[in-house]
Amino acid sequence: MFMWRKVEKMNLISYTSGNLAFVMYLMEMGKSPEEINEIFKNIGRRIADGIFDDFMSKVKRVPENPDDVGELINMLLDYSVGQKASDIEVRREEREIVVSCKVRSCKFCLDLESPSPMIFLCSGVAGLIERIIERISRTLRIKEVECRETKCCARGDEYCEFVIRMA
Amino acid sequence: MGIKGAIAWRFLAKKMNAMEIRYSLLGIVEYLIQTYKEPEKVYSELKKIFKRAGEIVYLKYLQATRRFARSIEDLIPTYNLGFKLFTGRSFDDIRMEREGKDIYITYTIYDCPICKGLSVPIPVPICVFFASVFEWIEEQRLQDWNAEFVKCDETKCRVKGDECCEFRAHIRLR
Repeated sequence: MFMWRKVEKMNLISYTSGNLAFVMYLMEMGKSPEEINEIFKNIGRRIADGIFDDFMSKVKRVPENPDDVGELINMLLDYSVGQKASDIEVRREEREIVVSCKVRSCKFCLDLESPSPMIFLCSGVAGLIERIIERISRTLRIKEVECRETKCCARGDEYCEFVIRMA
Repeated sequence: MGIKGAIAWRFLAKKMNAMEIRYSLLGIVEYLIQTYKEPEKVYSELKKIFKRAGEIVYLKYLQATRRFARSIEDLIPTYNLGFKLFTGRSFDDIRMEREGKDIYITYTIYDCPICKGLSVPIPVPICVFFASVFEWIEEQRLQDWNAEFVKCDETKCRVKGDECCEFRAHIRLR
């Protein structure tokens, strides 16, 4: 909770209710769940660009190894909503490092119910994580990064899960 | 804002990093600018989107504060409390004017926490969330006020270069 104490805050409901309203709007516009997830992911990437300087100036130690990305994600969750991941698992798959991050009682989709099981309401968080890692990719010595939300509390899953693949 | 607002903000509001909420709003605004280009259309679509958030926001507000407006005059402290609960800030000035059957309430804030530090490529007011939620809630209560219609718009916004953000509500009585 080190970073959380230092950030300016607003009510979480402004974020969650606004996001749900935007999802409903996009559905009415005829957007498919995949398109909606992608739009939210891009918004998350936009958020990352907006907060990058402020966030990195508060980070105690920038990870230099992709295996330590879990620590950075925990700092990002702390900075965003004062929460930490319930579980982070790092594994190697051929030329990739895969980090799975589980968040129980995820605050980003708190009390929300996704209007479709194909819509992952925390796709924005996946975009946020992806872009932050992308912007320190040289330090991490990685070429590519992709983050997807694979489970979401708002769909009825037990937890929100973000899977990060780094090549 | 009195002690009720301070308690609501300190103990009842679940919080998130304000910067992330602002950039999330900016992301939605930029998506709409890319889609519609025209400031008026972007504004009206933003308002349409956030009016949908009205129900959730109002229910959360009622659960947290147990307070709702009992008269039109009461809309002044009620929305000030609501603004405090959702942003941690109170309005700097609130004015009510009556012109026959028309009632106007103007809420003003100089250092608006919603758009602080943001800029947009076209002159569109982006703190419309408050106006949208106000309009949605009071549309549900037209009978309580014996009113014909209610409308609320953001009439000034700092991202457009105005000195403050200003929300003007118009209620026409029957």
